[in-house]
Amino acid sequence: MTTRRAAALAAALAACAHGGSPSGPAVLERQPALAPLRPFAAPVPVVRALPGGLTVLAVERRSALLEAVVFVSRAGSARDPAGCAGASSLLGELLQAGAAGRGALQIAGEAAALGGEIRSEVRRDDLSLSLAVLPEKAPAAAALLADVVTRPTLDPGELGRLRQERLAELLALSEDPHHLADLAFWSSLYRGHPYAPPPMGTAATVGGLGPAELRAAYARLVPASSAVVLAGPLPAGEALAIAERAFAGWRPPAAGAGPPPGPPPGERPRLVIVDRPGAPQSVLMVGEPGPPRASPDSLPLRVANQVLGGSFLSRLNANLRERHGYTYGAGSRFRFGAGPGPFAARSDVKTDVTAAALGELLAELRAIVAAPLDAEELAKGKALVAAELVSILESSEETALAFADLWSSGAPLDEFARVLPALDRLGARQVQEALRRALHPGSMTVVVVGDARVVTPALAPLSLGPPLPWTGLDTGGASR
Amino acid sequence: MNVRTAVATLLAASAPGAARAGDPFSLPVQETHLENGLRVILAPDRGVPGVALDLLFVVGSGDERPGRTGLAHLFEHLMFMGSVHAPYPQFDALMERHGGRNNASTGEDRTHYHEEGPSNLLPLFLWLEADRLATLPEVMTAEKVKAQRLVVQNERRQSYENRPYGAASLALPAALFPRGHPYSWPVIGDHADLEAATAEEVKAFFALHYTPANASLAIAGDFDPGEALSLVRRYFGWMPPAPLPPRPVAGTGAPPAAAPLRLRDRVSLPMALLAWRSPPAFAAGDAEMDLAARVLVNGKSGRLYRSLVYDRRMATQVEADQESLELGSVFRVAAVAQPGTRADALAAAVEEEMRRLAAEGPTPGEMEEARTVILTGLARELERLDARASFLNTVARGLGRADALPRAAARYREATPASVRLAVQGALAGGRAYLDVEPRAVGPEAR
Repeated sequence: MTTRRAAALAAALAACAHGGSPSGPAVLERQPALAPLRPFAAPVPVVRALPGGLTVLAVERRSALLEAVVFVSRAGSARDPAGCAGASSLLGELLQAGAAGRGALQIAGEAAALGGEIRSEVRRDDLSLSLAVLPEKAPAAAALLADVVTRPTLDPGELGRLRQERLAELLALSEDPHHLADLAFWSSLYRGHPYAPPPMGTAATVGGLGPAELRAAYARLVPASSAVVLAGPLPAGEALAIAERAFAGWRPPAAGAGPPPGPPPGERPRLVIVDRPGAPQSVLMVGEPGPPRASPDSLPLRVANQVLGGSFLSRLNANLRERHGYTYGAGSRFRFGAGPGPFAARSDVKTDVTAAALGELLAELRAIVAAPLDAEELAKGKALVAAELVSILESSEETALAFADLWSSGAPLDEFARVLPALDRLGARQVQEALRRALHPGSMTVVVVGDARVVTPALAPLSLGPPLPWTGLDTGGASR
Repeated sequence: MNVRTAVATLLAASAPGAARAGDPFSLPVQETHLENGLRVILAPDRGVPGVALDLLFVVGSGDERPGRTGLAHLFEHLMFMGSVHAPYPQFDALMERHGGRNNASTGEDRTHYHEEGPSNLLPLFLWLEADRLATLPEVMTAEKVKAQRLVVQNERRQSYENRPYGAASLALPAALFPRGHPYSWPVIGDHADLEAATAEEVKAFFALHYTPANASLAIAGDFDPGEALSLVRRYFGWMPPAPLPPRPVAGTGAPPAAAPLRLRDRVSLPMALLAWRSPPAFAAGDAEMDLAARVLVNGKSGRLYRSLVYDRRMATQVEADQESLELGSVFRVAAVAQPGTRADALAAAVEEEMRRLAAEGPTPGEMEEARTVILTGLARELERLDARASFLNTVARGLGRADALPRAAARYREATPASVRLAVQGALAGGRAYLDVEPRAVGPEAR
């Protein structure tokens, strides 16, 4: 203290001697004042419905460097019929393995010549294919995506190859503790619900996916439940025209994505333990089904989650990592989608502190429901949600995927423009009410992937009841 | 590795034929040096109301000594444990309160600290960085060291010990580099070394390496360059100069062992990991090895993808990359086997493909595809302000100046099938390390 003051005095004197503004260590004594936020208008997409029923969205981002082209369909893995888990996800790969007279390597080569690769992602509620390219290559990129979506070969030989790859991938993932936690978590939360099976499928279901199942999955891709999003520097009119030209001829035989998934079942196990003998850490996952994205609660819950587990000094990370040193990180998120996606809090903790860490995690969940956020926390949550939006808009691909997400979850397409004013109006009471509706820590499902011999007795004092041992998915699990 | 790959693409962006009005390579960059030696790089862009700052210190795990491995990375964690005017946890609390975020990363050569958020946070970011650079050791304690040691040990468990194939990442440095080489231990460090580190050692490490002249500050985003520079001068300009610390040297040493290193890990399928020592970052041949990696694996194309995954169905996945490092880079190929294929068979196939590349070189078509993918990948990264600030620092470090991109870009324009062939020949001549990762035993699922 003494030293610091002396140094500051010397610096002040030095500054006077130079006759300039303050310099030296003294400048560190006062935190700088912040200017107000620069006013900012979030983009609203230009939307057009094509005659075949396909929706086309263009988002103009003049400062972006790439034009991102995204195809999205509401035919996600939740639309896979019972016993066919993995069909939509394999379809995402099979589409790229042959289309419009081209083979898999030719399609990959064309994507590379355009500057990248087609990324396919299949989640519970949607299937997407994306490619981001320099703007002058956007027409070719859209044409390539249109070919794989509207004119795929669905070649049985390629299906055999992809199935073999997928089975090997599932085998490899069977030793990944985070993958095991996900499997146990979703199947425990959504027993009997279309969200239960993993999008990738299981060894048992993937083995049974033949050309007929893939043709059926393809029949679920229809224009009426699909959209094409372009985001980047191209003027919106030009972008719309590119998408329209590429997809104009898409007129599949009538079928459909099928109905959206209903509400989750009421019954859930309280504690599930996946045994991993000798594991140095336990993977903890705690949660329950949550509201859909279109729910009015989603914005207050996003704000609350920044405070609970979405930021570095969130209550979960500050407690489990910073205060106790149990983990490298702890966090939480709501997975908002078209249906009742889950809330999950998670952390990887050292095996010998599993019970203590889980106790702290549950206590933080109870606390955030019990009392409203204070003004500082509320302000922080709002500021981080707003900043996240700005950050997404830096990247064309993230922008396009974010709008694809809005579209597939049925949220209003001008949601980003509504967020900032809605945040201004949001009060602590609204946030707490939303939390009370969404989170029920006393009945949440707890999944622990760790050394059962050590962990099971240690968890007994937490009164979660007898653990349900995890024996793999009823559809075949990880063993082959 | 990521950072370096991105630099390569930044350079490629100036290749003829790729240009357009918004070419990422043409972004305005201005460079200043303060009297104390701090390099300042400003890249204004008013497109989105955000700002990102990257503060790079030229220190990494290569600056450690055996017995104290992991110290550079542990130190990185300690930079967030409070300074005199922003005591713990104010560094995070102040910026998060206004929508800011931060992170940091440590490699063999460099440590990066970055902040990003709404553009009105720039003065706060600069003040926080300056305060910890000026005052961190004054408030360093053994308790802080212990707290972050626990976190880092959990990071080691989560990222390596409890993750499939993590054991290979930990074993590669010693397999590829001779004993005592600055890259012969992993950045994360050993548990025993982490436990041995003291607050006094941390302070000495800070005093030696955390000086203005050993740092580079890059800012990208929505700001006025004149205002930003005067803020930087205000907060950093008064700091006294200090001598540059010595840099580690590679020395010479034996090539990696010819025999495979066979590891057991908690995995279901064998993996072959092969690595060669390759030209240093920004030296002749470095860009060529970036291109060679893409010729071998380019998304769902490339020679190795085609042969191992698509045609012969020996591997479920294959990756190749050049991790560019100052004392000599690492060129890696990793392939995970299909059930029934042995790692040795994958390794033999990879080596055969490498020999063929060394003998025949890539075709002009393969070169063009590799260049295009690298270029577009860069543009994708450069869109993000945090990545942009980080690249600018990396480029300035590698080339001596932030505005020297055209000179370096020439290397990419000049890269030819013949120069790629030569670079691959050079890497092969040094010998390779081969790690064979095998399933440890019967997994829990089978019981």
